[in-house]
Amino acid sequence: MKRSKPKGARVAFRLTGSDLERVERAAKASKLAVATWVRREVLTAAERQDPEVRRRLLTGALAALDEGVSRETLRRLREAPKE
Amino acid sequence: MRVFDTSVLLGALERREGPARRALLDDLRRAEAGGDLPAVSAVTVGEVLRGAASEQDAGRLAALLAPFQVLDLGPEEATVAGALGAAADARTLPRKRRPGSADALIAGTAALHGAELVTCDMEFAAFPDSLRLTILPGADH
Repeated sequence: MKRSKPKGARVAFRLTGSDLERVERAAKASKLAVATWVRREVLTAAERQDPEVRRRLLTGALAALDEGVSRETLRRLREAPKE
Repeated sequence: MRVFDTSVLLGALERREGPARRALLDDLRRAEAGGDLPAVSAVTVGEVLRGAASEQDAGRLAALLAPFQVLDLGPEEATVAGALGAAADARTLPRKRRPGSADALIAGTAALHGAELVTCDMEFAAFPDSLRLTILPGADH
């Protein structure tokens, strides 16, 4: 996994094609939406500042907060090992 | 910049009313109005996604985290985390009131970026006062 810090950006992740394929294989194996997350995370800090992208991500976050998650997920978050 | 600890995200998901939800909504809405995007440590990303019990929940947690600036965890952050953790350990506190290693990594990341760290976790109070810390009332995960 290559990481880069573009000028003016605090954080950015850059995945090479093979890294992304590897993560997607792992995501498929785990049956979780990790690949979706990774695709979002590939956005650089500069791209996050694009008004359209920014608005879409913020709207999605507010919707997710409103929809909430299952009791099982809340339990797992609450009871995760601290160390 | 404000860095949200994992406990705030959990608190906001658990309770529709409460300080964690209000703090998170305030920052997301401020960002909608053109303010800074809120931030989380990469450690928090791992902790939050670990909790997903279904594909649907994983998608929602990912969507919740998507607009956040994710602060990298590298050698500098880890070094500051070590120093903060050691200072917390040196205090004469009961073991259960001492912050864990993940907490120290989150605190170290916030400290290195000169950011305010927002948490619902009282254990963060054991870190030195040099950490800019806001502990939200009424919740302790």
